[in-house]
Amino acid sequence: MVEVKGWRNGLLMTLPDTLELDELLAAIRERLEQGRNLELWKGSVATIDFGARIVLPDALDSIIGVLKDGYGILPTAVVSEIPETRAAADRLTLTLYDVLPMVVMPPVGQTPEPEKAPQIGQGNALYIPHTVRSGQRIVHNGAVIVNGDVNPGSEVIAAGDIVVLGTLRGVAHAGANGDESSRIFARSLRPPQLRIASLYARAPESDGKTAASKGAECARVQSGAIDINPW
Amino acid sequence: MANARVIVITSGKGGVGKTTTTANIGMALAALDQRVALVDADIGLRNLDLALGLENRIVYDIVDVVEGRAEVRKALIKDKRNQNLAFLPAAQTRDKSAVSPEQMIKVLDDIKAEGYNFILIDCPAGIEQGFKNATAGADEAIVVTNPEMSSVRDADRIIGLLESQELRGAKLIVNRIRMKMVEQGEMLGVEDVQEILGTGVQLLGVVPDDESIITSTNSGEPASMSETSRAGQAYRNIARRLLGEEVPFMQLAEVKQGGIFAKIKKMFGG
Repeated sequence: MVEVKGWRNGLLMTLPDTLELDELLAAIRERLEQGRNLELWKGSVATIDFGARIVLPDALDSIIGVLKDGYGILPTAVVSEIPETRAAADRLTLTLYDVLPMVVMPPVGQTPEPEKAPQIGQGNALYIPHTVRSGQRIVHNGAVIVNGDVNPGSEVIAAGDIVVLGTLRGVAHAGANGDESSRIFARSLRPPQLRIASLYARAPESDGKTAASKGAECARVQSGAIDINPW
Repeated sequence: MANARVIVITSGKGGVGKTTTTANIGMALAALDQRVALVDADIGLRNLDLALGLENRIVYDIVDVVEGRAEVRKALIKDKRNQNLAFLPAAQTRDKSAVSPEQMIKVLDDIKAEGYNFILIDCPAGIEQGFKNATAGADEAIVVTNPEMSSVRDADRIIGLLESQELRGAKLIVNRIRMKMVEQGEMLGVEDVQEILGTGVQLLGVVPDDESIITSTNSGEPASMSETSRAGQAYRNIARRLLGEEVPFMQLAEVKQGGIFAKIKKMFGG
């Protein structure tokens, strides 16, 4: 399978090393045309990870040709330990890596499949430019940023982090797909209940009056429980 | 004149004082020489006629207008106390489904054609069909809330629903406030209510809890007709604010009897 991810130097394309060249080119096309506006590829730079594939100069030319002429993607680097492949890349003065030098970001240009859902939540934030009012429910498969308050009787459910620039008085559920590293930030954190992944925390019983504002806080999971700290 | 201001008076929660507010603002606007039509959209739970003391004059109601048995002009009841004020009653024997939003808009257009400056719609409680009917033809909204959490939460819900149907800039009336309880920390204050609803919701008025409201509702004389009622004064102020006047908010703190300070406060209070 052809994988396309984003990393610090544009796209990272991981190509399967088992396919014949024709099949590989077809797989590349299929991947790049899957569920994405083709215009968005234009002008991207790409690093190609060939795995154990032996790529001769002609084959490299045709792969680069497909990317450049077909989609406007400019390959600038190659990841390979195979001498023939490295030689072919070196001939085109591409940057060479033996192994992938760093951790990559989540896939781009592809809606994550449901079974993979927990891994998303960093790349695709939902921005809500207003207060979330009672009865409103925001559900998003990623991080949610609310530029306003989250009022009592409303819910914000996110696969990733929840950031509330105002006061959080409704129910917030971060990491709703099970990601315990998700956090909840609010300028004023006063919810009746907080949920992160499968954990939840209740507000201490109060006399029903609003408590004095303590400034911005962040809720996160620490040693199996939700912990709230100044932000 | 087809450019009447159509204002829906709504709250979400029942019993917070929508009908009383509609009657009082209507009467106060009429006293300021505005031509005002009040529409009771609470079909099946008619009340506005009582608050106005016009029950015995109902011949036709809004469902009769919608179903073509009467023209709006005939169904509108003119208030004898103030000819500027007219009232279109709800039907008591039907339910909310008797009128559709499109029919409501048509009725409002007919009322506009009669040359009114203001059309105030008394919205039923709830967020279902009745709410949709009452808000369909409105271009402004007044949200009434009491200083208590359940009412504020419902008001918040209503503001969200209004925004989602492009009725922005809802104005807020905090009704039945008791300053003594607020001072003792037993009741939400106006600031607490505003903090929850956000600064985007403009405060139109604060109406003190006032026993005169109960007697005035029972007798069908809106409190805004009474010079001595504190709530009536608050409603008159609201009417003036609706007309664009800058009216300072009433001094609601309990004043000690007799002191010179109290008298001064009273002088500036109104």
